[in-house]
Amino acid sequence: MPIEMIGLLGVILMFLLMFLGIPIAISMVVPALLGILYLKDFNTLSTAVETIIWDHSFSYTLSTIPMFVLMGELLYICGISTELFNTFRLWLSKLRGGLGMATIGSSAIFAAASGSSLANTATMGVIASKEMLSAGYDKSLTGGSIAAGGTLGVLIPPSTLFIVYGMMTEQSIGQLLVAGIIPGILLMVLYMLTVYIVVVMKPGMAPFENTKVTWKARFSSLKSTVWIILLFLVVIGGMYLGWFNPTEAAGIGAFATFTIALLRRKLTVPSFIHAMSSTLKTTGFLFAIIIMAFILNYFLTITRVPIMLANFLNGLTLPDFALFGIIILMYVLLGAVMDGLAMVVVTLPIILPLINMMQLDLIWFGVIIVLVMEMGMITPPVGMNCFVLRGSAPSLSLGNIFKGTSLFIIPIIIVIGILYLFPEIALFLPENMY
Amino acid sequence: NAASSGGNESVNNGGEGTYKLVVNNWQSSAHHYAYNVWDPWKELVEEKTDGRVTVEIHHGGSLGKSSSVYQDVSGGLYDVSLAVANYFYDTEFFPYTIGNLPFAFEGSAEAVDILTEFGEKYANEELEESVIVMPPTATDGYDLFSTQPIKAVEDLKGLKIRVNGKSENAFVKALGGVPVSLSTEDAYEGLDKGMIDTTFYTPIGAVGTGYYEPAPYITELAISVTPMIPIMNKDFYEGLPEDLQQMFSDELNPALARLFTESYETELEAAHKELKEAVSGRGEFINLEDSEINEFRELGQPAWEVWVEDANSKGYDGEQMINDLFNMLEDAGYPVPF
Amino acid sequence: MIFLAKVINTLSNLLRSIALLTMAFMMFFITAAVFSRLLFTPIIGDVEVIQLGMVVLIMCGLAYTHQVNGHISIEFIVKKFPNKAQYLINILAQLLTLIATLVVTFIYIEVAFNHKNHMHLSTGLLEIPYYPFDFIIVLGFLMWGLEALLKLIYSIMELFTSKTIDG
Ligand code: NA
Ligand code: NA
Repeated sequence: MPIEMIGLLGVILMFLLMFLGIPIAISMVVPALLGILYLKDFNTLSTAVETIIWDHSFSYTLSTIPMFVLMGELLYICGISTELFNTFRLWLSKLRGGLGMATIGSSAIFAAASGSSLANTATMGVIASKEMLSAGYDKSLTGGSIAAGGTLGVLIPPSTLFIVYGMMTEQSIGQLLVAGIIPGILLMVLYMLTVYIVVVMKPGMAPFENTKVTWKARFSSLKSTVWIILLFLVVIGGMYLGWFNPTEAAGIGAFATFTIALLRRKLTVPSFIHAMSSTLKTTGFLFAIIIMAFILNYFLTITRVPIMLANFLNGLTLPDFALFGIIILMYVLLGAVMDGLAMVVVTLPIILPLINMMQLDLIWFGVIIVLVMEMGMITPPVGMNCFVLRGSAPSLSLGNIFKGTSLFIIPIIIVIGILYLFPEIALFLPENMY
Repeated sequence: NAASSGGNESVNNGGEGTYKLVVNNWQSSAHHYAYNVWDPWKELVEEKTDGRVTVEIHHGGSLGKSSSVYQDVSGGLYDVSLAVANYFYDTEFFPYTIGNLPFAFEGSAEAVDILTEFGEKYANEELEESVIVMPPTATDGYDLFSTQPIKAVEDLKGLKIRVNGKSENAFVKALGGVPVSLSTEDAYEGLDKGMIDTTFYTPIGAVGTGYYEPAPYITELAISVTPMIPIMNKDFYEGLPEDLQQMFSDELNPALARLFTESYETELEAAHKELKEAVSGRGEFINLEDSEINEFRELGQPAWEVWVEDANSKGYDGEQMINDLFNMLEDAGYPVPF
Repeated sequence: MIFLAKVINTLSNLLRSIALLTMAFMMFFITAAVFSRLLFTPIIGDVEVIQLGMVVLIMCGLAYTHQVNGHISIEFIVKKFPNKAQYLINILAQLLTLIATLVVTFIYIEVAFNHKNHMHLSTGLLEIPYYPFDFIIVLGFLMWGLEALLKLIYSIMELFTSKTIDG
């Protein structure tokens, strides 16, 4: 049997197990264990397990994940994320689907303090799901707005994905981060527009809130956001002033939130333990998946499945825009079934020569890659944001969430299209910064 | 055919009488390792062996990170890769880390000359129990990348300098700097935001990471190099027929080390040129007088002392090793560190 | 059976407590490191401390995550299956989890002893040895497996109860 065939069989087995409801991490690792044993030997398998587990847990960069998740949990205890959300809600109350837009707006602001879309989703998930559902919003629209809003976390700086991409392609990380700002704002606006259009077309999905909101209430809601502004000033300001790096910002953010909770007398021993336990659960399943995904990646790489794909693409002699379209399509398909980070680590080395051949700007392509990864985060069957949301908002099923996120794929595609036609939207800031 | 024996090996090999050699390049496919080293080596191997050995290169560390090359090659995750000696300080690679010490070598070619002999004497026998050791290579010399001009040792006083390992820590303290431990990933941000003022880095690497953007003052010092040793999986090598084994040992493995060293030499020239252009008008590319460089050299000594202590605690004779190295340097006509 | 459950739960709770302490420690430690760098002098090796903290945090969280059914799966198809099929699939899920985690446990026992006795790996600045953390990895995956074993036994028991109800 050709070695590529074994790789494909592994992928099929993974899907089979996943759709049977076997935990994702286990569904990925079982074919990987069997495949490595079959192709190599136990010695190789144990080396793979040894180094992959260590490399992906003994990690400084990845420590942002539990710390930002903890920050979110503590924000929730403080009632702060609720207030942020409420401010948006009051200001957007005149609009149809205002709550959905409030979710996206507060996600975008939160994104400016969080490097991970997972932390973003987890934090907004707790509050926004409760508020939207109790206001009578459709479950899928609720899930979709939160999970999609969460993707802004990696496009609006700080962003762990840009850092990984910059390392792999040897591009300036500073320029990459800045390149994400305008596309991030553009995507936020399009997400909001999506909610608006959906609600106009299907009014049943979001009951119009007939409450009269006075300008006085709106402005006084701003008063209650003083804590958030303070928190963001500390976290973002501290980062930009060089008091601490983005990794440390997560720990500082958690600590600052902890302090605010203390000052506001919201923090108790049980509530603190509860916040940490939820964080632990999220950390547990995320890292189980990250670790197992990399073991699976090793298996897929030795079966040459990624190389087979690249050779196939290289073999087609197509005009650039078609090739670009195919690359995007390939990432969309891969992103459906793989963790975004794992996907990029495996494919980028293969795709890079193709990108260079087409003379595309690598900073610009970084923004495109992040957008495609965002899409992967909200498409089934492997959509990390949706899993996180499922974890933090038990009243939403994965089915609800994936149904909702399917709508938000359209704005992502539109932003990719706009960036393809007008690369300057991404490149303007980085080119004028240095 | 003696080679096509076990069931697993037949899968590992390309077909009857042919062998597949899997390379893990933990750098990207755009890195100079790819176009200057691995691709030409693949061609050389396939040509010299008449296609009996085919080489499959995986870029971007998709088979494993640089931090686990030793374990990965000995465990058979892939057949060949490049081990950075300093990442395996606690292993049989330790003797090679003498090359990391301040002013041990001025550049790649010199390091290769001396380390080959040094490694033969102190490290290879023990390493050969788990892997096939190829002749060593080394990076270009590290320069200082700083947010303010460094023209003498005094200029470093009180500056926050990034450190990654113990001997570096000792060196920075001796220089009067404040050591800050920061990962390579955070170094750019760190320089940009003033978390650190200065970092040692390879000029070739700095072109890629763009450290010259936040730190446009570059002092050419060639403070130290990073020794690296290409290694091969033992089972792969022993599974080859004798004539192929011979060919790898005599010709192909030394050729790989040579390709690395040549790549560093040519890239360094280009890198220095590029860095000079990049910082002109924004910063300064600083060359020091010999007397000033000697001041830096003197202050490297504590780092050597820390290394000797470590060597002794690991059961080597640290003093003897350093004496040997200095003798080798003198015999070959190179300057000794201090 | 009750005894087994007691032992497993006690151990899982112990790991969970270690994880929570580590998490709180990391939060305070990162803050302390930042303040120390800004106001006094940088803490050398803070990066390593956080890296090791991550190992402890992740590994001690795996079993707890399984205990509270936190390992994410795609349920929407299985939910449409008949009850008995769902029980069987759950048994398969627990069994595969048990096997996979025990394989990792077994592998890491060897790794830990190798790092303890032969390849003495340690962190670069503080020289903290890896092997105690290897044993934490062993413990983490072992307890994840034992949680799965417990659920496996419960699922089999449920299958039998459901049979008697159906039959
Ligand atoms: Na962000
Ligand atoms: Na997906």
